[in-house]
Amino acid sequence: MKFLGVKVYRFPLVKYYWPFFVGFGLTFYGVAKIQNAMMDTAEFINDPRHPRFKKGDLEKK
Amino acid sequence: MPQLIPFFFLNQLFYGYLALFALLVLVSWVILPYLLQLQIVRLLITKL
Amino acid sequence: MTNNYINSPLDQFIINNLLEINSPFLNLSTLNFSTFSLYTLFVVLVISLTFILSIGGESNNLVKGSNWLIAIEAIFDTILNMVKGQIGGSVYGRYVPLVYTLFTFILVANLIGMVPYNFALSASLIYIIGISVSLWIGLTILGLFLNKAVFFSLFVPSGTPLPLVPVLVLIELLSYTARAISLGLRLAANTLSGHLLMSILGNLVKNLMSINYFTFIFGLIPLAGIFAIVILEFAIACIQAYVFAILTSSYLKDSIYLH
Repeated sequence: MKFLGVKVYRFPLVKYYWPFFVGFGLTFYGVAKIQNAMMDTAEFINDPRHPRFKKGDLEKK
Repeated sequence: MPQLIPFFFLNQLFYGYLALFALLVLVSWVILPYLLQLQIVRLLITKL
Repeated sequence: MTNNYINSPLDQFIINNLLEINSPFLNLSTLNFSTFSLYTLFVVLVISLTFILSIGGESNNLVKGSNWLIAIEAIFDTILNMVKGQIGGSVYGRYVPLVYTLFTFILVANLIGMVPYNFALSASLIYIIGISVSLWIGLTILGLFLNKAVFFSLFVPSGTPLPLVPVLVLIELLSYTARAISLGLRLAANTLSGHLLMSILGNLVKNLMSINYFTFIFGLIPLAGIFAIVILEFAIACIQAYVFAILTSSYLKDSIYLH
């Protein structure tokens, strides 16, 4: 197939780079844990961007 | 410090990895084969 | 975008949501379109636009190439020869796309961040250190998969006397794990400190030059110093991208060939 007139060569990405994709997934999972932990500290619990306000939890903690 | 506001961590990582993956596909499927074909054609033209 | 004035030099790194996604069932706040995603979109657009401009033109210009092709071909030759020199052997071609895309992404992101009033992508600590940690995890998995148990011979330098080996293994292990954050922290700290320095110095000189005419003339001397610092920042933007790429290929060589 062609991309704007240039022939596309399907380089086997997953076959050669699968460890890096596993690393991306693990880092994503770790940073999600860190984000959820940091959002519940005293400094950010009352920030208006916190997702608990969208769920209907309207009290000041 | 605005780099350490936790509400944007996953947003940065998601779009950052998406951009890197899109670039990886663009580079390895389109750009690098085109440049390699240019080098091979120049070699064949001058040597044969 | 709650205020229109810049109150502190750190305000240039604030991220705002430009287009939010609100769903009543799930928390889809990771899919918001923020300033960060706008600038990653700019980087991808600039790189693809440079390539599209280089393949346009008349059909008899394909082998000679146009002026736009010189930029792409220069980076291609640099990265290819650098990876060939670092990794060598018969498998170096597999990892050229990864090093090439890391180099071009960081170079274009740094150069876009040098334009005034733009957002510097490389100064986002969590993104750059996230890339470096995930690359390190990938390198460890790659080394373990290719070499199985012999991978741990990476931690014993060749030619050490036998009693020193336990101490040396611990030190090598520590320096191996420090690679995970040092690779990203180098780039992020350089960009962050450079932008912060330019912002603070520019503010100071602006306050000096706005007092009266004498300080305006006198203030041209520190302004020349700041001009030299801006030129240094451009050099740092390009050099840090190259350092990231060459260190990644050196760590790839360590994982594949185990010195």
